Amino acid sequence: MQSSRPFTRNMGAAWLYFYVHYVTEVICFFALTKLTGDSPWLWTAPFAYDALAFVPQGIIGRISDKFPKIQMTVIGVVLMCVAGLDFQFGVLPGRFTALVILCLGNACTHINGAEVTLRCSQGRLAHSAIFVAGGSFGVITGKLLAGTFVPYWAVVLFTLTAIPFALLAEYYRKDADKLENPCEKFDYNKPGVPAGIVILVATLIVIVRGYMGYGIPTSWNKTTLQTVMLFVTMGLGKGLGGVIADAIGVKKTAYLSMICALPFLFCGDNRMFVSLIGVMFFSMTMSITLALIVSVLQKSPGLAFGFTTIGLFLGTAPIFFFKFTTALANCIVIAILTALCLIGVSVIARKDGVRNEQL
Amino acid sequence: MNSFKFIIDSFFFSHVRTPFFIICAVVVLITVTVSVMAAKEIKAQKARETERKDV
Repeated sequence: MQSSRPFTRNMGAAWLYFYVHYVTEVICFFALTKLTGDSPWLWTAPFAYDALAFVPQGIIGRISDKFPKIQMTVIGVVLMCVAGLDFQFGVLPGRFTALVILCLGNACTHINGAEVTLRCSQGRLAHSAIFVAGGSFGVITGKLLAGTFVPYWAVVLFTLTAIPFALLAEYYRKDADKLENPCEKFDYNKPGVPAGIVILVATLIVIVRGYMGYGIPTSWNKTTLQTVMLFVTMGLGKGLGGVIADAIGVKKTAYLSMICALPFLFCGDNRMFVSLIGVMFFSMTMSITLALIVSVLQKSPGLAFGFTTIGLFLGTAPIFFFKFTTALANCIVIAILTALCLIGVSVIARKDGVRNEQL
Repeated sequence: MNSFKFIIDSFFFSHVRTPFFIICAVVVLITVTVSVMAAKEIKAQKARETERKDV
């Protein structure tokens, strides 16, 4: 059975979750930036945040797949508000309590966002890409707000505005769930390659790209405006990646973004606009790896999203312990890892323009 | 390498050791659990496909 709803209406869910994702990252990075100002938290807070917000999303995703009536976003927003109020008033015991609650709230909203946008997309990538893009704008807003007089309670009130957006998006999801398998049009994996290999290679690509993201040479980034431009470009790149993949194909977009990013990143260490073009290309692959994993876990988009977030944590974790300090070393590592990612994509992604059922 | 040194120092000589090990254990446990869940899901999916083909 095909949905009678037009494509444009389903895009509503993507934009609603763009906002929910934005709000989620605002409160999380507001708290995180405030915490890292306190020296004992200098690296433990971001490390704990990455681990506890990214890694449990697989399990929460599985619960969300099995029990779609649970309003994960509402739970997530409430948890984040409780954490925000505890950061303000210090009611709950323990140093990590509020941070753990914040992370779980973050994980719940992310999972529901992925579920809703993937189910409503009819196999397109633009929906989840737009949802993911909202995060970059939220990260920079949260970081900037943390340096102002804005108190936690004000950010908590702002976070509560996500609830009506999330509830409205549920209507789109219910609409999409009338189909027997809303994600059946995700078939970007190469037929014949075992599902386990597809998940493993796609997750490895996420790990590698996560690590590379922190090694991008950006000596030009010195002012607040430049940081804002960096994050805005990341957001635009993530969104555009999905839109372009829908237009020209997943495999072509993956190759295009990975290969085109290299020269701009290498030559852009001291040139902002050149570097930003590279960052935009680099960010385009975000939704592609997700689409590849969903292609082999069509009935469990939440679980599939969890693999990408585990990959992101595993990719960013080494940064806390080891970094290449020179631009040249970073460029060499980025070039080698890009080559490995290209091989990975060619192994697991099917040819563009030919659906698996036609093969 | 200053940041690297700072982390090593704080890891071995400060209060952050226990939370670090707890976080690592949680990450390993969840990753294994999620992988098992995915393996089960793939198996179920294959069974559904076989059943559909048989019909």
